[in-house]
Amino acid sequence: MPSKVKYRKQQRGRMRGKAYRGGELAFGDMGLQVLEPGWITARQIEAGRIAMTRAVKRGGKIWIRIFPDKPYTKKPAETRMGKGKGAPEGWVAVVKPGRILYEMEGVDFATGKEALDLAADKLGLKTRLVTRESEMEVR
Amino acid sequence: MKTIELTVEKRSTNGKNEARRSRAAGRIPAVVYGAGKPNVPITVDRKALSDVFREGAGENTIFLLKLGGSDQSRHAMIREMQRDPVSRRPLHIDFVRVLMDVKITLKVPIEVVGVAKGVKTEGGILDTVTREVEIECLPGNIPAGLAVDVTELAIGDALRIAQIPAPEGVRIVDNPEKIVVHVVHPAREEEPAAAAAEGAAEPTEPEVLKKGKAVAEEEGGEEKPEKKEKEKEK
Repeated sequence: MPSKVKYRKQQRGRMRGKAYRGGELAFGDMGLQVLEPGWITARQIEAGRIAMTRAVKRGGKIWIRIFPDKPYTKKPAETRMGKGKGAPEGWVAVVKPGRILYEMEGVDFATGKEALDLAADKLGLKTRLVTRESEMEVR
Repeated sequence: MKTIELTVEKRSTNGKNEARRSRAAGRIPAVVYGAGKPNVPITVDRKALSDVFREGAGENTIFLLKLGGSDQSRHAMIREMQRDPVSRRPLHIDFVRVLMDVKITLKVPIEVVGVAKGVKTEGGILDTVTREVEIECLPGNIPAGLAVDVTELAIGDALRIAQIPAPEGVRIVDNPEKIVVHVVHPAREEEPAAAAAEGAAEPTEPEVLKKGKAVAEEEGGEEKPEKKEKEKEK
C-alpha cells in the first residue's frame, strides 16, 4: 500500500479498455499477463509472489509490475444502508486486459511456468503465460 | 540478413473508421516514411506478414516493399509495430525507408551463449541488464544478433558492451561501459521477516496528506468572507 495518500477513500471507478501501457515484458524472460479486467488485492499480489518464490526455491529473479494504490472500503456486517461510506478495508491494483502482473528471469521454462501457474491460481482472474518469443509472434 | 519481398497497397483514406475496416478485411494500416521523401500511407496483408515472421523475420528485417498494381519498389524496415495488448495482432506499422548504401543506426538483440561459471558451480543468478545493443552498419550487414560468451563469469563479474566482439562491417555505438550481464548472488528468502512486516503494517493506514493544521487554516480562511457577507446582509 502507498506510504502517503491524498484521500483515504476512493470511488470505485470503471475498467474500460485494454492495458495499452504495462502490457509488454520489460525486465524478465517470461511473465504473467491478465486477460480480463479486475481488482487484485495487495494480499493476492503477495500470495502470488510467495508462491512463485517457493516454486523456484533459490534462483531466479522476480518483478512485480502492479502496485495496489487504490483503497477499498467495506461497511460492517449487519449494518443498515446509509450513514456514509464504510471504513477502508484494504488495497487493490486495478488491472485491465493485457497487463503484465509478474515477470521472471534466471529459471528454465518448465520451472518458470510452474511458478507462474501457481501465482495465477492466487489471483482469481484469467491469465496467460507470455515469453519474449511469444511477444515477437505476429498473428 | 536477407531481404524479404512484401506486396503493399496504397491507401487514400485515413481515420480510425477506415483503419478498422481495413483491419477487419485482413489488411494492416501502415505508413512508409524517411529518406527525405514524403510519407505514403499503405496497407499490408496481415497473413503475408504473419507468414514472413513465422519464417524467421525479426524487427531488423529489410523488406522490399512492392507497390501492388505498379512496378515501384522500395527497401524499408520496421521502425515500430503497434499491437493489440491482448490478441497481439498488429494495429499499425511504421516502415522507414532504407538506402542500401547508407549506414544506419539500429538496435540488435544480444544472445547469451553458454552457462556462466558463477551459475553452474557457485549457485549465482545470471542477471541480464541490457538486452539490445546499438550498432551502426550498412543495411546489408545487419546481424541477427550479437553473441556474448558468458562461460567465464563468476559471481560478482560483469560483462560490458566493450567486451562484445563486433562482426565485420558493424560498429557498436552504445556506451562501452554499459553492463550487459552480471552474475549476482541469489535473493535471500525473507519470508518470516516479510510476513511479520505484513502483519504489523496491515492494520495501519497510510499518512493522509494535507490533513490537520493546514486544512484547518484553509477552512478558517474560507469561512471568514462568508460570515462577513452574511453580516452585511443583516
